[in-house]
Amino acid sequence: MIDWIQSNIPPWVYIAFIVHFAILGTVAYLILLERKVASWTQDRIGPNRVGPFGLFQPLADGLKFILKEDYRPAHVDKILFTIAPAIMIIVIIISIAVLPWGGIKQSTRQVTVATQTDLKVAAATALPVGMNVIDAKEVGSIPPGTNLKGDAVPRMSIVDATYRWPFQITNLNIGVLFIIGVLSLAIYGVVLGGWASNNKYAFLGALRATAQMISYEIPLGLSVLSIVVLYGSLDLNTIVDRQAHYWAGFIPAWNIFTQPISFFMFLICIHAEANRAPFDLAEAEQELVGGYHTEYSAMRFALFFLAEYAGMITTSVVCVALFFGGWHFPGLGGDVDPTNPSVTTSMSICIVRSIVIFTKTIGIVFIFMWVRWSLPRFRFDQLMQLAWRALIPISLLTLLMTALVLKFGGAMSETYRKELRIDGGLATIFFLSNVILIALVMIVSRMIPAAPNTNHRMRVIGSRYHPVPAPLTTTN
Amino acid sequence: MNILPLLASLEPDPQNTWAPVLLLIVMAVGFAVTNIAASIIIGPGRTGKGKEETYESGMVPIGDTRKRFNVRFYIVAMIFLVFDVEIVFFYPWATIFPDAIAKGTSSGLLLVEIILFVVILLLAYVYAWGKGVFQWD
Amino acid sequence: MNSIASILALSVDAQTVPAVLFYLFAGISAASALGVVLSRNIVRTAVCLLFTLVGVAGLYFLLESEFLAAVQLVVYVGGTLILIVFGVMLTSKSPFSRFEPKAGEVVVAIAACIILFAALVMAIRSADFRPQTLDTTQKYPVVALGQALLGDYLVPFELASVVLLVVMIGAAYLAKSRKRDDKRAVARGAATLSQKARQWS
Repeated sequence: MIDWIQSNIPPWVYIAFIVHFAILGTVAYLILLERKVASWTQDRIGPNRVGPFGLFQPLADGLKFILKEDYRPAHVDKILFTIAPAIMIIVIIISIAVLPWGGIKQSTRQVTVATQTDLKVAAATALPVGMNVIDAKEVGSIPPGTNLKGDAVPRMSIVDATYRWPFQITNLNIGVLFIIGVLSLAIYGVVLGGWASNNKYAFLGALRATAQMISYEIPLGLSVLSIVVLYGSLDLNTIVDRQAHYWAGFIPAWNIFTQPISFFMFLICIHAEANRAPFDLAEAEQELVGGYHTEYSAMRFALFFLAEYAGMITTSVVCVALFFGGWHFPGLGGDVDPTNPSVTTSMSICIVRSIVIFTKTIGIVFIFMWVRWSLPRFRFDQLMQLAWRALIPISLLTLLMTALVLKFGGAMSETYRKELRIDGGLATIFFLSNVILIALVMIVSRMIPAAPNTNHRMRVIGSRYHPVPAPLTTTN
Repeated sequence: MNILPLLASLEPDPQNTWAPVLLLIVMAVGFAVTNIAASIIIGPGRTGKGKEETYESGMVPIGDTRKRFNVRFYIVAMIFLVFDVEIVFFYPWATIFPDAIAKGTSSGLLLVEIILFVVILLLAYVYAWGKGVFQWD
Repeated sequence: MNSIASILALSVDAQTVPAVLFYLFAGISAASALGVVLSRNIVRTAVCLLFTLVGVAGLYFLLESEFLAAVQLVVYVGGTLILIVFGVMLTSKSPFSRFEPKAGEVVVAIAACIILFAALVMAIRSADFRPQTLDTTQKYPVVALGQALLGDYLVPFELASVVLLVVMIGAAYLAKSRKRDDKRAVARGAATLSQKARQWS
């Protein structure tokens, strides 16, 4: 039975289940972490009643969500009201498919296959689907004969097959574009939820959220492109692999140093895409009650909530993979292929790498929380102007700068031309170009006329801003 | 193939890469349906006339919810679409550009082509800026 | 045991699994396309269109053109459909607003459908549907696409940017004409306001 499972169930099935439940479990504890961070920022204690340090709080919350009334006001569009949170969580869960966790695992297994000229192809049929057989050596053979039923059996080869499989759920050749494409569907969860609720707050919140999410999708895509163009690969694991070396022997060659502008823009955009403070206009409590989920309760509300946090994890993993070297960590070596450090024969390295990338992700998520409890909210016109007047032109210029530096610096760098790795010299050029670009942007932005002040005083009749004051009413 | 053999060895067998995505879709739909169904079945359901009212800060709702909203949102969506299509055109370029540099073939031409593409779009961007599309008054 | 194995491993050799998936995605597309036509609630129509487009993206995925699938998601589902949803929301007043087509409109719609259907049937009949083998040596469709776009089809590629320029100018023009109207409306509103104020004082 174990043998049958080994040869028929590919590893991605286990990885999919583990990642799915690990992310959902982490989300529950992120909510606790968020409350702890909030209380720490505000000098409070935070949840500490349910279990030691409030550690069972997420379980209690989850139970409570299921046991609460799934309330639905009259006059809502019943079908859309239900599928909106479902769309949201489904989309977020699908987007975890291409996240890189542990590089590429190389394994060897002995299989018995019918002899043919191309043993690699023959060995691939005996292995689970999706294994990339790189080598197949014949170590023995069984002569042709008949089996117990009397059927003729051809000559069989005993083959030592060396094969590689990605230590992640799947490895599509569109990689990061898949995440961007799938996450762009999340807008429909928001817009349909807000529309179906038949509530003015929800509708306004949904409108704002939609405009915000589409506006920030453009600089998000462009800052991803400025990393993609460095390596010419959309695959996140390949991008991480190219970052896994050192400059001057000890500085990790992460893209945070080569493309700092892109990193900050990416960070801003994932905050805006997650609808979190300081971009939480969609659910601004003081003006819109709860925004697009005002009318939601019980598990339908919980799904929106889970989706927000799970989306934070997905985008943070992408951020870590693009800018912080993914699973690469100084000092973490071991049994790896020197030219392609992502390939390893050791299972424990894969697992340690998953832990490394997960820890880095939690670090980024902590930034999310830190920002949320430190910064005040934007006004809506400021929010849109940040996207359209600042982030989009800067991200376009960054992309052009990257192309120029690659053309003139990359062509001279021997390491880059041979291995598509950025060496110390090229990295310095990149860093200086970033500094120059940001200085240029700061100089030019002084010359551009400022946006008109939109903070009008409404001259409502009777208010103190109206030229003609309302008559005083006297009561006897 | 035109890609560096170095990168090619990293890529897995492209066949059947959709099977894991399919598994995830099934798991995600299962998760969503189970949770919504559980909360509908287990949770209490007591409703009444006042409770069914749409929430509007405790007041009786005034007027219709679907008011006409500002057409500006529509224009944002329109301009977003332009940039969205533009980004899609960037991806094929970005995947071949480093390779051209590594090989030293026609990378200059690729650079000029994309600069032309971006400059034409920046023209449109500047025009829209001048017309005040990006101002929110 | 073998059949279970082939289902679990989603083996390519078993032609059934891709076939089942094809019918699944095609079914989703076709059923929601029917929903687009038959649903009388205009927002639900837009949602049906969402599932149609996602189903088509699934079909592209099945054909191993992942890039096309992603473009379908990013441009059509994440872009064009948002525009349609906004348009729908701008025009419809209630979630229960319904299409009540007049008799003349129904006749025109049916005539257009018949012409389209005839054209489709003709196109399908003249098409050559020989089964083709997938070029498995082409591991990087995006790279091949890039070479085609920036090599052989360079002029259309640059023309695309000109088209985008035109679209942007159109959108900017629309935004501007709206602004002029706004100013007039504001002026009118201010006039009535001050009139009222004068009455009061």
